[in-house]
Formats: sequence, C-alpha cells, structure tokens
Amino acid sequence: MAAKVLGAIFLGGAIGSIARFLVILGVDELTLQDLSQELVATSIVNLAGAFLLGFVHVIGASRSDTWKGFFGPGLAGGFTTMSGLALITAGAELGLSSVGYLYWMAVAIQLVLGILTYWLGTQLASRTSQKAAS
Amino acid sequence: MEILISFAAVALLGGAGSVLRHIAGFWSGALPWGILFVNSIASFVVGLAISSGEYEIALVVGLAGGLSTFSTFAAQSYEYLKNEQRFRAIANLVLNLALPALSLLTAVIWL
Repeated sequence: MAAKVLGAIFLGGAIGSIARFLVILGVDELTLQDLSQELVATSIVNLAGAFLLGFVHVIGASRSDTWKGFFGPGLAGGFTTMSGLALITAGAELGLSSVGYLYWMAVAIQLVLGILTYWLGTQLASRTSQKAAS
Repeated sequence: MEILISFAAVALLGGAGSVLRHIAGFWSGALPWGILFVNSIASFVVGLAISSGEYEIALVVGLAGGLSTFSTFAAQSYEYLKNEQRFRAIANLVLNLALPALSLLTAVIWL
C-alpha cells in the first residue's frame, strides 16, 4: 500500500473530521443529554457524506489512487460517523428519552436514506460527466 | 487556546482513524467485516470516553469519528442492492444498527 495514498487518506480524514466537528459545534451537541441534537448533527454529516462518496466514486473512477484515497475513505469517510449513531441508539437504551424506540427508528431510517443519497450522488456525477463529455 | 488544541486533536486522531479504517476495510467476505469491526470498536471507544469523562472531544469526535464510517456502509449496501444481494444488504444494515450500539452499551456497563 503506497505511503502516498495513506498520506492522502490521513489528510482527507483530518479535514473531514474537522468539518464534522464544526457541524457538531454548530448544532451544539456532544452532551449525550439531548438525543435530538445528536440526531440532527449525524443526519447532516452522514447524508451529505454519503452523497459525496457516491459522487466521488463515479467522478473519480479514472483518477489516481491518491485522489480516490483523499476524497473517498479520507474526506467522505472522516466526515461521516457510525459511532455517532450508536451514541443515539445506546442513549435511548440508557433511558435518555421516554420515546427511545423512536430514536431507533430514526437511526434505521437514516441508514436507509444514506443508501439513497449515495445513489443520488452517483446519478448526479453520471449526469455531470455526460454533460462534460458532450 | 483550548479550542485550538481540540481542533488539532480531532484532526490528528481523525486522520489516524481514517487510515486504520481503510486498512481494516480490506477484511471482507460475505459481508464487509472490517468496516463492521471498526464501527463497533469506535462505538466501544465512545462508550469508554463518555463513561470516564476524559478526552471526550479527542476520542469521540476525533478517533471514533474518524475510525467509524457511514458513507462506506451506504456504498457497500448500495452495491449489494445493485447486484440483487438483498439479504446481504439487509444483514449489513441490521448489523450496523445493532453491533455499534451493543458495543457502546458494553463499554458503559463495563466501566
């Protein structure tokens, strides 16, 4: 595995993580006291990140491994989070909400919407590529 | 000053977590076990951090956030659906919903 690719993943992951941190600060969560704020923050980063990865997978198909590493597992991977979703579902189990089952449902819906937004990213990238070629 | 240190910790640990996740991603079979593994480990780290109350931003936002991924889950599930491997897509969704939550709860109960 080329050190250059790992370096690109590290850099993209660092930038993606800072961007996620900024979203978290904007929503003012990470207190594990308000599951709804956690849900808003994870929805923003996860759906946007899934869309970005779909776009990157199509646009970057013929690009270098360094480019793919930076934008794929780096930027999109570092921006999104699954542990943030676990914080919501586990928080619901720990009794932080009287309607915990709704948070489980919301997280499950977010997982499904993530697949959909990934697909939307691939579709937009395909159309962009076709327009650029014609 | 404190916020700058937090940003630096998030960047360093987020970058390191992303590299580890990429390496773990090569462990794949009927399901993307490597990604499931890092998502669960990252959630365990979150459980430890919030239980101990130490280095929460660095560990939760930096290390665990960089180590775990939602976008790769979405891409892999989409590929399963595209290839008509519906059972794998559903299993991937259910396991990514349950295992990270279980890992986090285990860490909280353990501490």
